[in-house]
Parts: sequence; structure tokens; C-alpha cells
Amino acid sequence: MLGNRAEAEEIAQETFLRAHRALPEFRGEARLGTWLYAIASRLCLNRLAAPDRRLARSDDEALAAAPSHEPDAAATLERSERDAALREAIAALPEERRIVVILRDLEGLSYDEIAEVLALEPGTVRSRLHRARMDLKAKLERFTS
Amino acid sequence: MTCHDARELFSGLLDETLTREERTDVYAHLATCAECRRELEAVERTVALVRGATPVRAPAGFVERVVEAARPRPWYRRAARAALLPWPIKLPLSAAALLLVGGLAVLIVRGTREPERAAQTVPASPSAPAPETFSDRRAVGESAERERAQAKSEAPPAPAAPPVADERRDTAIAGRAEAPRATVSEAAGPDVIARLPTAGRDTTERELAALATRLAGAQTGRRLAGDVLVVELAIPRDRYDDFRREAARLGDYRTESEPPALPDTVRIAVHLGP
Repeated sequence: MLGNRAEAEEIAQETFLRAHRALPEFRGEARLGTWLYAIASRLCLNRLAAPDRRLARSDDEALAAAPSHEPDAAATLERSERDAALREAIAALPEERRIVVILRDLEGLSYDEIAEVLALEPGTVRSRLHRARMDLKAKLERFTS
Repeated sequence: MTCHDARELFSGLLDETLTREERTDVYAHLATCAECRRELEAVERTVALVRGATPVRAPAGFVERVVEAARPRPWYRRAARAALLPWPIKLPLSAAALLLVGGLAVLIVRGTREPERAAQTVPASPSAPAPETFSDRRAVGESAERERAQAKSEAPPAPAAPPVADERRDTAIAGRAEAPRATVSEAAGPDVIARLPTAGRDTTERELAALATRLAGAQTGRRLAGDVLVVELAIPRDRYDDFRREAARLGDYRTESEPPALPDTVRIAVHLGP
């Protein structure tokens, strides 16, 4: 979501700390996982809205090039190339589409859960997800044809 | 059903979220349109590609670092760290701690007259600088003063929860009945209520969040009320005039209610809608 490993780790840590502090107040209206996603999403969006944030995305490429751990060298190369293209394509999505596709296709949340996490109407989730997938399809055609 | 209409529903079809009628219509169209069948296959392959991405794992030692950060430190260790801090860091921190104590004193004095109001105001201060917490902490090396300040803000149960509780409330209630949400919101009580008509709610929300951050504040929540998106912000009082001026540049910003005396951190609920 942030395109920056160090920032992502900070936000992940902050998410757990905030949840830890506020756990006594958690009344179970949402699933615990959904609640954590809500905190993390809000922190990410706040961070992305920060004016000095533009400088922070310098390691997108390093992130995209992060090697995987498969034993077969050829498969590893192919997979890391595909993952790199995928991360690059996701990073290029507008924020509001990026967060929806991450929550749905990488984190496996349902439409209703995403609507809850992001305080959106389910119809908005559906249309943003559709646009995000159309963008990704156009960018990743060479891996899907 | 046109090709365009059918393709709009492909995501929902793959996620099995279409109504029975929508699904029947899409399948009826697919039966007669080879081009759309190819398109659906391409979307399906794209979704499979995304879902098959190598999952990102937390780095080694992440859990230990979180547990360590969550664990309260004994007083003698905090004191030892404070003693080792260089003066160029210690002095501004001491000044900040003094200001915080002063601010709390004002709140407590005001609280004796307006207990409910103080309960609303105190949580705003820990939530306002929330996104900066980590970079701040990193910059000063987890200073003891900061921990003490944090401990102070966390000590009473009510102030500890709101930053997250606000988020949880927003999200947990989103999409459900409006009535309980309104009740909770009134209990949290913004100091200022304003309206900013806009055609692009999301863009305006982002602009407001960026503006709040620029003015040393933060967005503390958001909720939907029908067509209206209520964006909650916390702004330091001395930047509130700047906020009003800058917000007026985003559109026809109008203040609907504003107390005669503003708290140190002003909680603003901006209603964005048509």
C-alpha cells in the first residue's frame, strides 16, 4: 500500500500497538481482523496524505525486486519478474483503488468487510475494485495472455 | 444487456456477489458474445495472478519489536535513558513536557466547570499527532520524556481508546443503521461543525487530511451519513484560523457551529456532500 518496506513495518507496528492500547474498548462489533485492517488502513491513508510523503517512495523498485525463496532458479526468476511487475502495477494504481484491491485480492476480505473497514458503500467498493482490476489487466497483459 | 454493462459486472461475477438476476443477465450475454467471454477470461487470469502473488512476510524480529514496544518500561530504565540523552534533545523535550502539563492544567480547570467538554477534549491531543508518533519516536530514540507523556495520556481509560475507538466506531457502524452512529458521534462531540459542498467527496477529503497534517493536526475519523461524508479533524487551536482560511480555498466552506472559546486541540467535523 505504501510502497516502502520500512514505512510499512512502522505502520504495522503502530497498528498492533494502537490495538493493544484500545483492546479493552473493543466490543466485538466487528471481527478483530477487520478492526485491525481498519486501523492499518486509516494509518496508511493518513501517511499517504502527509505532504512530505512524496519523498518516501524511493524504494519502490527495491521492493519490487525483492527476491522470493523458491528452490528452482528458473521458476524463481519467472516468479520474481511477475511479482515485480505486479507490485509495480499495484503501486501505480490510484490510492482509493489500490487499497480496495489489496484488501480484496491480497488480504481476502469480503466486499462487506472492505466497506466496513473503509467506511464506504458496498457499491463503491464494487466499482473501485472493478476499475482497479481493469487497470491491472491492461498493465499485466503479457503475464495473462 | 450491452457488452459494457456485462463487463461492469465481471468482478462481481468472479467474486459471486451479483444478484441472481444480474448473474442470469450476464450469462445470457456471455452465451451470445465471444468477445466478452474472452474478456471475462482475461479478468479471471488477472485476478488469479494478483491472488497468487508471493505474500509479503513480516521481517525477522517484527513480533519481538512490537512486544517490546508494547511493554511498559520500569521507571529506573526510563530514568537511565533520560540521564543519557544529550541536552540538545533533552531541552526541547522538557519544554514540550512543560507545555503539555500546562495544557492539561487548563483542561482540568476547565473540566471542573464543564466535565463533559473536558472528556471530549483530552482524547483529541493524543490522536492529533498520531501518524507522526513513530517518526518522532525514532528521531529522539524513544525518549523517556515522550514515554512519560504518552503514559500520561494513556493513564485514564477514556483518553487511551479514542484514536482507535474512533476508527473502530466509524468502521464497525458504517453501513448499518444511522441512528446509533449519530448518537455515538454526538457523544464524541466535535467542537466545530462545518459544511463544504463538493462534487468529489474523496478528493476533498484527501485535501482536508493533507491540510490538517500541514497544520500539525490530523484526520481522526470519517463516517457516512447518507450522501454526506463527515470528515473528522483535529487541529491545534493556534492553527485553526489558518485551517478556516485554507479550507475556504477548497470551496464554499461554512462554519455552522463554533464555541466561543476553543480548546487547545479543536475537533472539527466537516460535512462533505452535494
